[in-house]
Amino acid sequence: MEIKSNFLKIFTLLLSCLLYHSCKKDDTRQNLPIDKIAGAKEWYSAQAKQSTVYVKTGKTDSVLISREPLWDSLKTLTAADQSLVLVVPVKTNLFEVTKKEGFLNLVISYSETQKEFRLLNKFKNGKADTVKLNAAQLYQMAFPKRENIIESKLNFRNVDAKGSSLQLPKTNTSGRVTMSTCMHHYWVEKYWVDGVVVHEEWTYLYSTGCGSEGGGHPTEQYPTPDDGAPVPSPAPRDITVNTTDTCITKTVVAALMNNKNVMGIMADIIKKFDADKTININIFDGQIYYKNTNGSFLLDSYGNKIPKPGEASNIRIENGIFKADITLGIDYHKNTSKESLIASLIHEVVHAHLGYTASNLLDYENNHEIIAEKYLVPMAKYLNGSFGIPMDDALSLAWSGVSDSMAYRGSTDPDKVFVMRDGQATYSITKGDMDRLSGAYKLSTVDPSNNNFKKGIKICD
Amino acid sequence: MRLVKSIFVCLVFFVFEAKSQISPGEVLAKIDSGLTKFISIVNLKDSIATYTGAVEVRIFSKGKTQKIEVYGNSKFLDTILDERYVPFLKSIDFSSLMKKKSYLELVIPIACFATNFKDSKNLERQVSLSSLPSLFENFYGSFSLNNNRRLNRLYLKPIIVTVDKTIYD
Repeated sequence: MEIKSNFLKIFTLLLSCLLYHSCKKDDTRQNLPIDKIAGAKEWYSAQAKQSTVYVKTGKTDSVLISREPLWDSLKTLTAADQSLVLVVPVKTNLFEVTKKEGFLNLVISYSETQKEFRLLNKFKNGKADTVKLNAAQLYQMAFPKRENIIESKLNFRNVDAKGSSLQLPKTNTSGRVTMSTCMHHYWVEKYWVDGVVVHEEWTYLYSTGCGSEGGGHPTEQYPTPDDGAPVPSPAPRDITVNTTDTCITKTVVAALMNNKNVMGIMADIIKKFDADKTININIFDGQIYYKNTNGSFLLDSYGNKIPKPGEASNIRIENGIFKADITLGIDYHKNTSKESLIASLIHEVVHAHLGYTASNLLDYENNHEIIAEKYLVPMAKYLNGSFGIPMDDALSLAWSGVSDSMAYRGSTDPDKVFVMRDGQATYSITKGDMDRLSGAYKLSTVDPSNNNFKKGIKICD
Repeated sequence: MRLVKSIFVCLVFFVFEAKSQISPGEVLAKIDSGLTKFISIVNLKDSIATYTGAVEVRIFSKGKTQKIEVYGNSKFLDTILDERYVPFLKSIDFSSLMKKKSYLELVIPIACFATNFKDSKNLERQVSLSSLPSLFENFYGSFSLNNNRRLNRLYLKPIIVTVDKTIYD
């Protein structure tokens, strides 16, 4: 009985202590919702467990970077959209590893609907000491596109973010010094799910031995993928760009990012592919050539293999997730136009779309007849909307991908008129015009017969 | 004072326990979504239309310790699953599934149906009747079993993969 009574007393005491401490914290946080702060901290801790950070030199050396938020020095703000902002200095070995001075700050933007965090690795930048920024300025640097902190009247335009904010490496090779001791150092964040790296993000930090000895700030010699930098890719999406050729990557990434500004069926298909978590599209590039049915290469009259513009393969459903691989031909698109490359990309996207909409993958052959019948005008409109090229040119590019269709092969007459309808609009083009108009986009820019490259934008521009 | 300490330790322990253990549903969802990440059909041959196999996870539990063994019953699994699936399965905390049992077997059936519309050998896309018994047997996991352990066997929802291996130009 006495034990029971003691237990009740102790329990009441513990409860009182807990209540007292809760109230005490409330006071020091100036009535900020303590639960929300705790929620944000807990959320970040869970996120941090699923990611690791390294400083990497090229593709080889890497040093694990520690990140321990100093929660005692936490500063809280409220953003204009009412989301809670937490700014916390982080104890790290980053500056010890890089032998530089600076600060690492964690900025968390937390609301019911949107939760994000950024780590700002700020190096002292010569004379301009940009490390002494207040919490509101750090928030603005971490989330530059967001609205300002409520009631804040700071002019953030004066903040020198160059060299201290996170930025993707540029692929500009001009002025690059290729000294053997030149080393580029990157901040690499890896995100893990169930022991597997699902996303890796590289941010250029600084270079050493590249002509700016001892400089603690990024030089203008932005490294290229050849130097070990990854090709720039958009944020993790359900369309993954795994291409290796810099020009192809640049064009594909730009097209995917611009897709939101394009209207029509084709753009909607890409939007769906990119947003739907049950769809994964992987885009690769490679040396791909036409083959005979027996697997041997198809050869031209000179005995050369014939490059392919693109192919869609491995269209599959894995445990309810639709997946497809798209490969763009490196040889075919070398020195050609962006329009030609994107025409190839959307053609393969349509193949993937036909697989996705098929009732049964095993009993449905998606082919060029269906594309010729239903998708040429949407594809042409997409090219017209993306690049502003004339509809005739866009239709020619779309048709060139289905030259094996019965409709196309049905006539050898160059004056044969193809008529396509899209709602109220009708488009017509002759077969001769199709060949002439599309060819100019596909001809290599280094081909002597391609005088002045009058059609399209060069793939690497 | 000693009593206070004991109660406090107990409270902390129970709170920690409650948070660290994931529910049975979460364990199964983790297996399902996690294994899918290790599937790769790149090395799969086109000519055979159907493949089956099963992964068996044997969990031995003693107190707080958990020993896990992972087996596959078909070469097809080596083709379709990245070898990292084994450490992945071994990293899972199965304690919520164990209850008070000291042994549990999980069987995860995996099937793959492949076709190629341009492969002349595969135009019919039919499975031979004679291959069906072994396909079914593989699907349910024909592992050598002994003693009463088979009573603690749990079959999970099968992982099904359908793939069109046709290369579309």
